Amino acid sequence: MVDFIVRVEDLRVWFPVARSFIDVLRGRAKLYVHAVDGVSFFVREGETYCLAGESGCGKTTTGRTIIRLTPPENVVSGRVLFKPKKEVYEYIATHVPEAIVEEEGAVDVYRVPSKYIKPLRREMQMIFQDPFGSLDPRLRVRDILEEPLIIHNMGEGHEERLERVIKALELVKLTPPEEFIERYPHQLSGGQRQRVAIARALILNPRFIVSDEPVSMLDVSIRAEILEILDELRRKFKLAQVFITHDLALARYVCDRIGVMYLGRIVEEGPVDDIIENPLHPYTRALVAAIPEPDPENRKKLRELRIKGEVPSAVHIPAGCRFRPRCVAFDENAWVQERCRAEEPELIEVEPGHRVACWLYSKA
Amino acid sequence: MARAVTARRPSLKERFRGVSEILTEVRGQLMGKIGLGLIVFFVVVSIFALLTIPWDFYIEWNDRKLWEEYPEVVPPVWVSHFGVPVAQHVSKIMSEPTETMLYKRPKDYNGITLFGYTTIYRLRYRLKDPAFPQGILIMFEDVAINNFTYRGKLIRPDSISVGVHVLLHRPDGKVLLINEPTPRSLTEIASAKTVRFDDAYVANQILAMYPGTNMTKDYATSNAVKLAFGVYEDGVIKPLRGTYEVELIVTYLARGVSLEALKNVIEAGEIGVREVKMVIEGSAYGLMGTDSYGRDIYRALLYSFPVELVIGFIAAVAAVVIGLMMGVISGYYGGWVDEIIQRVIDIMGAIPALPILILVGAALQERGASPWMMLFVIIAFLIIFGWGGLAIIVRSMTLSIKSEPYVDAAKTLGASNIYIIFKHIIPQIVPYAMASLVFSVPAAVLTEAGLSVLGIRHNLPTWGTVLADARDYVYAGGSYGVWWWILPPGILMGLMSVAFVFLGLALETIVEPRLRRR
Repeated sequence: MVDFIVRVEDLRVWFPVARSFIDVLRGRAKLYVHAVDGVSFFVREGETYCLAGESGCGKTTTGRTIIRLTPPENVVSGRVLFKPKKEVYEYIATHVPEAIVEEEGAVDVYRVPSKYIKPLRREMQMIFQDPFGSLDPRLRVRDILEEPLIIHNMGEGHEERLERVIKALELVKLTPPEEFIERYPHQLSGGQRQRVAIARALILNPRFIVSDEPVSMLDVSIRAEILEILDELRRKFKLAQVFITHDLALARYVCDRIGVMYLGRIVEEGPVDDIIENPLHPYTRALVAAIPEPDPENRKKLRELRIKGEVPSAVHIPAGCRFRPRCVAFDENAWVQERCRAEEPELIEVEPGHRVACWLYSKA
Repeated sequence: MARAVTARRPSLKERFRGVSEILTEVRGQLMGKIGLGLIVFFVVVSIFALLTIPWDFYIEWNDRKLWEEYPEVVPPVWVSHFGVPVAQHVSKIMSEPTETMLYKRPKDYNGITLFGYTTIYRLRYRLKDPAFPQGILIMFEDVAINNFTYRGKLIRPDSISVGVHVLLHRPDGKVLLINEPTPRSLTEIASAKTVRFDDAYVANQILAMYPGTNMTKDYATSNAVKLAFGVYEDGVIKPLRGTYEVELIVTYLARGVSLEALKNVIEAGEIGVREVKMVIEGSAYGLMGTDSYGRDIYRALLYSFPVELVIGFIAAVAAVVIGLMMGVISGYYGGWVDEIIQRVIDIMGAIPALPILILVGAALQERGASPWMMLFVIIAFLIIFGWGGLAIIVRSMTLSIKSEPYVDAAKTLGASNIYIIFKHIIPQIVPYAMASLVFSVPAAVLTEAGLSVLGIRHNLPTWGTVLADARDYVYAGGSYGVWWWILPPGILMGLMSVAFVFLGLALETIVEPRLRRR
């Protein structure tokens, strides 16, 4: 068994589609958006795991669910296991023993009632995509950074908390801190805001963070800077990370392993270099083919995008393989078509650590 | 390094940053300045009223007897500065007679017969302007009615016969006896208390003054006071200017008691009239005139200031606080809580509040509920039917704030729902709630006044009540010319509304920054 810090097992997150009163009267079935539909993966200690995929594939929902932002009633099945620090583990063990998964030494995040979730929160943090929305416009930088300390009752008194706030600002290279501490978010640039957000996530010393496209809303010129800070801090504090992105080039730069998601499921998973050099799933292939080519010589080559159609609605998932309606390989390989129509493929290990969910690679 | 930053608690000013920001914004605008100035005026006057008028003034206000001595439906005295002739209002309390006499046998005095121990109280009155006073009133404020012994005999106050004569000496030398002098016992005097101007009795004397004219008895009776203070010429009465003197003559006589002995007990204060109030009702009174019961409108208006502010503030603050909390709870928690709150608001919105309030008010009046009870019910109604609209708007604001990423961020940090509501959601809504509060205050005041006019009287003297009294007076056949009765309460209500509306308009730029001109 791998030594994980976070493990997601067969996670399904469904959101009900609002029915009109008349629909209810007519007895129409309740419909669900299958945002996450059977996702399993794990993150090792100190590792960065990427969730990649196009918009609407459920990668952000997966991230939010790990961090327990999804309301429990929408988590239809599966579990999120997390290995917290010893004290927190013991705290949960004494208060909610049923949330403990003893054989793994982990906590089932969704079995901890919100009353006891606070110590766990300190261990797992999130960096949000939108640095303009994730900071309360009415609070100054010092208030924003002090907030987690106040909530968790950390630091003796105002002075000590301020000390920690200043340290956190130095960590994210907002120096000199006194220049930033009294500012409001609207007085900061996007990059500076995102650094404040990173400082806020890290001020509690978490072991695990979810970074939800932390640079996608920033100017290209400051992305590298933010990514560098993030990487440096990750190494320094031995943070495990789930990094959510739609940009495979970025994923290759940031991650150790990657899971490619399509319509609520991971279709291919493995070490990031493996996946990008040797994509197996027809969807991953299309994604990799879409990475912009840095070499000007190659740009003139007409590249074929081996995908068709549009993403189907997450309410009505196609039967069998969910990628089938868009799959070019399906049209070309008549011998698998029957299986593709009938059954959803499971992830199969084709090389060590490299797993793919496609009937093309099924031995049986 | 960066250790130079001093750690300090946020100062008071910083904690109330929102409020001081709002004040700065308000002061920066003409409307805001006017509004704030007016509100300061209302508050200062309210404090003055609280200091100068007893809180239970409403009891005095509703006691008709206490206002008898004041002229009815007269304008304020300052109309004289605008050239309106005014007969002064004079009221004097006398505890010592101006003169005492002892008449052992009947004596003629200005056409009346005096006999016994006689006390005379005199009041001079100068009529400067060509105007008529409204009447003459004598009140026995303090009459001692003890028994006393004379030569071993017990003398009871009801065996003392008292004669009361009130003479009016006119500047032209003529003298009128303004009451019918029936001798009565001291006990009767003590319980009757007042001596009034007897129109019919005076009319006879007037008729005798103008023997050659065609003046009828009816005419003389209905214009007796005017004729007493005027001269009749060619069918018109002209005020007679000059110095008048009102003379109250009280004679005491007791069978079987020597006059000297009677004089001694009366002078010792053991028996008899100890204090009288002599009133000449003018043709103008006070700062704001009087109403049809002679009540001082100025005092009612002044008493009203704090009452109106309290009505407005309690009703508005309570409605806004409830609306804010309900809206936030409804929007933040959602689900069945939201559903219940929203349906309650819908139901409240569908209930015709005003007709129900009128019914409840009428029922309470019927049962003789106290003024405070009535006021409480009115305020409660204003609150109950006042929070819904705000709650709906706050709910939608909460829904949008709730989905801001910083709320998610706070959740990830472990913030409780209460913490998020108070730290992240309410601060965003407060400016809007403030503006809404400012508009609700005059609305509450106007509703309260409107109810008074509709007949739901809580009997506290408020602007609405004064206005409602004026309406009753006009409906009962009075003239619309009672401007001092109608305009001031109306203007005050208008000013209060303007004050809060201006403040609200100034605040609006905070709520809606796009309206800002700077």
